[in-house]
Parts: sequence; structure tokens; C-alpha cells
Amino acid sequence: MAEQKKSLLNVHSYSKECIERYDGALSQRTKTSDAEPLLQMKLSDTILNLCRANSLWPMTFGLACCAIEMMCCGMARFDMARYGAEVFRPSPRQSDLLIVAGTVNRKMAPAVVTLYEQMPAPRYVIALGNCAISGGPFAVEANYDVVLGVDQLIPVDIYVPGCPPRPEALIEGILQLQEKITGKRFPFPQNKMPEGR
Amino acid sequence: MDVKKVIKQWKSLATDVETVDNSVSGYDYSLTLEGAKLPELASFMLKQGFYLVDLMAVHVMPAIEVVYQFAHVETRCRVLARAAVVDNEIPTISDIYQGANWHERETRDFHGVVFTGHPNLEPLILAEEDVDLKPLLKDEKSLKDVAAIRRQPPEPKVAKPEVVKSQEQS
Repeated sequence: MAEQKKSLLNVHSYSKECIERYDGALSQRTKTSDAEPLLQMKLSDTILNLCRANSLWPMTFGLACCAIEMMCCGMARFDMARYGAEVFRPSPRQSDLLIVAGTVNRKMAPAVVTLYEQMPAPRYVIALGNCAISGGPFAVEANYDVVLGVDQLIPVDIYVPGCPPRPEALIEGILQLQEKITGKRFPFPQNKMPEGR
Repeated sequence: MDVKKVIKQWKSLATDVETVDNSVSGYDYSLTLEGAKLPELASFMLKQGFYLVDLMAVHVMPAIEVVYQFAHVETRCRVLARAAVVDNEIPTISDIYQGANWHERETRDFHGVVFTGHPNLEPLILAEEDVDLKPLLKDEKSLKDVAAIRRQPPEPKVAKPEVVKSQEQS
């Protein structure tokens, strides 16, 4: 019995296939943010990216029910502060992460684009939930107002699927974004089982 | 509220005044009237202490119908007023009930009903480029007749004779 359950104890994201998948995909990934960073110093880029990745400031921007999960992420139980992403800013000019949490419709689309344009580079976008990824349940013939995927409007870095996604999924999305920025999966001290056991 | 007086006034304005069972339909009186009489009815309702709950359009066979829901502030009385739209136009009541302003803009968005005399009939819910979208108009296939969507009075219950089953055990 103990032998059978041993495989369940493996942390999935550190399994062999998963690591291979990460490494394979990492080489193919490119930076999607279109604007160049304000500071252009190649030597300090690594340090700056490390700082950026561990202090992501999301914007207070909820569109639908996925925003409830996003709020939940900031609260005590899930606590995004552990990963440095808890400082929700009320202004796009102070934030560098746009979490599109919910359905984007055609009335809202110009506002989303304006908010994205007002963010200083480097800026990152997480599409949270099926609606923001592809229109989700609204991708039907009778739909007349929902934008089918926020990536039709702005470049998206990380897609977090779910309807709505669990807060853990959003935290995983933020960790993946950190990995995308720095090239490493952070933060290491929180990884209690680096060997997957 | 003097019920008899109010009903008398309704009968002078509406073509049809019907008393409905509240427990079945959720309202007490159902009025059917011409669109031209709407402002007169609305100002009378306001004077009697009714408030406007909601306003919406229904796309049915002969013409689009605009449905107004009124409720009384003090007594339990809900009134449903229906008016058929003629030539896509119906007079506004937003100068009498200010709350109707956004409801009428929404109805124009979804069904394209033009409320004459409305101060600002711009799109409210849809994007500005979708002025002529009218998304809630039905196609010919799903369009129904007015009579088909009206709530029918429930059939009187007839006590069925109990069928006595033969309990023969072999």
C-alpha cells in the first residue's frame, strides 16, 4: 500500500516530463511585451528581472466572477504576498501586471486596451479564466457582444484556464510568469520538496 | 388608494383591464393599451402612488410589445401594462418617471424601439458602433404569436375517479 501511494506524493510540477516540457518550451519562448524597458542596462538586466519577477504589482481590475478568485488570492488563506504579487494598485501607471479576470465585451474592450497602453513597460498580462482566454461559454453562435479571447486585443503572457480557476491556479500562473521573466522558477526557499519526494 | 376609482380610470385609458391571480402570475392587474395613451397612464399611476419597477420589450408576432411593470408603494398591488409599438415608435415616459430613462435606452439598444421625446437615446449597454445591432429581435423561425405566449388561465381541477386496482394474488 505504501509503495502504491508513493507515486502520489510526487509533486507534479517537478516530475521528469514536466521539467522537460518546461525546458523545451523555455527555449522557444520570446518576450511578448512590445515596448522596450525604460532602463536599458544589459549587465544589470538579470538583477532587474529578478526584482521585477519577485515584486509584481497587479492592477485592481476585475471584470467578472474570476475577479472573486483574484481577490481571494490576495487574502490570508492563499496570500499572494508570499510571492510578492499582493500590491494591487488602483492605477495602471503604477502597476506592471494586468490580470484580465473575466469576460471582456465589446463595450469594455476600448477600456482594456487603454489601461494596457497606460501601463509602463515592461508590462505583463495574465488571462484569467476561460472567458478571457477564448470567450469560454460565450463562444456560441448567438453571441453578439463578447470578445472571444483578450489576446485579440492585447498580447497575453500567461493563460490560466478554469471557470473560474482556483486561486492556486492563479498563483501557479504568477509563478510561471516569474519563470518567464527570470528564466528560473522562483522562489526557491518555498520549494519544500525540490526532489519531488 | 380608491380601488374602484382607479379601475374606472384605467378602463377609460386602456382597451382591456383584467384582474389576475397574484399567486399565479405575480401581479394583480393586467392592462392592454394603445401607445398614445401611455404618458397619460404613467402620470395617473404616479399620482396614485405607483412606482415603475421595470420596462422591457417583447418581440412577438403582430408588433413588438413594450411591457411596463408598476407596483404600489403602500399596498400590495402590482400592475402590468402592455402597449404595442406602432411604426417602431412609442412615446417616452422618462419625463414622468425619471427611472425609465435608462430602461428605455436599454430597450432601444436591444429591440430598436424608438421612444419619441426621450432626451438622450444613445446606446447604454451596447458599444457605440452597435447602434443598429438590435440583438434581441427574433428571426422568423422563433417568432411567436402574442396569444401563444400569454399565460393561460389554469384548467379547473376535476376530481378524477380513483381507479381501483384489483389486488388479486395468485
